[in-house]
Amino acid sequence: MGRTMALKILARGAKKKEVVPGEIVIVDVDAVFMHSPDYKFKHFEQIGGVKGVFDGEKVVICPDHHHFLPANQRDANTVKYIVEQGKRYGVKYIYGPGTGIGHYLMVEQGHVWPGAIAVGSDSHTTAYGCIGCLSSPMNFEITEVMLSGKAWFKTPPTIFVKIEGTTKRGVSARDVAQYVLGQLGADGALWSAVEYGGSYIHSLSVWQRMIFSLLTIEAGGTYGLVEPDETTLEFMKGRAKQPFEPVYNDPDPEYSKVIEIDVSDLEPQVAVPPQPSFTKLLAEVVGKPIQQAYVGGCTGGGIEDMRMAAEVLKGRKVNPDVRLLIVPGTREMYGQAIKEGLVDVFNQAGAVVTPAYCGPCQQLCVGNLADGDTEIGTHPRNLPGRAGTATSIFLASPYTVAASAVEGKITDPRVFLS
Amino acid sequence: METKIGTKIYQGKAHTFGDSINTDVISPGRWMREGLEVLKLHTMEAVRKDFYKDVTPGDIIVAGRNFGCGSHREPANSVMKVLGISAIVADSVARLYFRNGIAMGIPVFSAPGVSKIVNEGDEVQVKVTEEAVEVTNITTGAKVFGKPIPEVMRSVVEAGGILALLKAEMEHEKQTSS
Repeated sequence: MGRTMALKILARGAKKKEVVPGEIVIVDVDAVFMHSPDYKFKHFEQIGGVKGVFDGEKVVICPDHHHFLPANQRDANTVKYIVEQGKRYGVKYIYGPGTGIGHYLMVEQGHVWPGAIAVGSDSHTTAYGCIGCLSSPMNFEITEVMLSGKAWFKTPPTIFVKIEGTTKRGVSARDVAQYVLGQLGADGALWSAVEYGGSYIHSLSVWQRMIFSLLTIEAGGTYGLVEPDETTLEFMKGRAKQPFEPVYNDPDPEYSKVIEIDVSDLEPQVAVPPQPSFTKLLAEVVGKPIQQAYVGGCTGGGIEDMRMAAEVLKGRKVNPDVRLLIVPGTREMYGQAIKEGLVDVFNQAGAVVTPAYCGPCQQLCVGNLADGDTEIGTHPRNLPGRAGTATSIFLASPYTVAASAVEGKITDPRVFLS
Repeated sequence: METKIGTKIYQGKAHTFGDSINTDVISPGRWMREGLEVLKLHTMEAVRKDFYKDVTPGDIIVAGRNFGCGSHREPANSVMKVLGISAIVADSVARLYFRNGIAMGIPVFSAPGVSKIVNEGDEVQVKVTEEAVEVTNITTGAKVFGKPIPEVMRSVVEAGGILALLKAEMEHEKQTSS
């Protein structure tokens, strides 16, 4: 049996010939992503004597959660502190308001590449697996990684999810990823890598693959990988901050489990409260009234996501009882949406388009829900307490979210798609 | 690595929770930046209102599968210390909550089956040795075992968390370079 790409990347990072699942390795990291490093800078102060991060080129800061613009003075002070301290400790890339969601930026701006090892303070840092980068969330320990450039990992077994077939009209990558997440369950991938493959996955763009990689954390997985292919290498052209050597699986890699899925007959899916992995057929919740709809977040702010929403919204109006927010993933994606006329479609439909940032996913800036409100969104998470206590949140594809905004209740989008 | 930790024992009254207690429940986004003294008033409120009123220092949280899943938040670990929780033991623990807990010196353990042998209010003992994590329900006598802490974490645990360890390293560096 051959080695999986996860083991091969970790072996390379640890400068070892072979590693086996379950081994603890200490590796050099290629990128560190920080979304709210104020805590980490306070750790630096507590430690004392810290002069700078291990490599200013490899640490990236993007305070995307709280602030496309700070919502209050406390957050304004926090952002100011983050930027000041980032500069003081020699961090080169600090993304400002309106630049976008860190996870999209890390990939779009070439801070990661196929075969790289990255860690990030945000739990959805499994995202960069979409280009074959071994990326994983880490939190408190990031203080140490920022100083040493090294992190320890337990080498994982890999679950292979092989997805074949072509989806029906109105069924998007989010529906497929949502279905897969439901199959894995909330802890189905605990301490494991998940690799997504098969002809369906390789037919998708890098951004649509990212939905799978990113949602891996909602199944407890440590990494969510897609083996690099021509699409990946084409996408990476001129993008990476340094030359790189991709890592591929050996022939016949050793997987701990293989899940085979054919998407040909898959119907639209939805995550119901209170967990992202609680997947149901959309048909089971059709008709539920909503007060807010949201296209954006790190699983729904891509250009294709906005195209899907625009396809439904073109020539239609958002229901007057619903707030529809469209939040582009990055400034580049926003620019592309303007160029393609999508922003005009959203504006005419009565949606609110905001600058690129995390959106109301965690309700830290704008778009808060009132008690008793129901929201449907393309974002990754619907856990209780995340967006108020007495609220209920459904997660679905951009088609479904846009159609639901038009009808004022959860709606199968296929009625609007010719 | 020859670091060794001795046997550590935590004992207290159990507060039981179900599966998938996530960090939005433990540390609601709305209250997270208001400081730990405020946050603790809201910890767990989405599943149990006014939880903080039930806690006496030294109490132990016993939970089901995947404790601490969801967003990664330091306050979700550190609020436990402020609440007075001495240890958390669950059927399984989300990877990052576990790593954070160890790095911060706030004990989090997994012991499969623990949620089946403990009821609310039982007296529970968690004994951590090099071989295992042993959980005993003092009230009923029932026992379950979890795997020991990975060796790489032992030096961190012994130092009382990563910051203490880094501080010691920095001081060592200062002394040797001057």
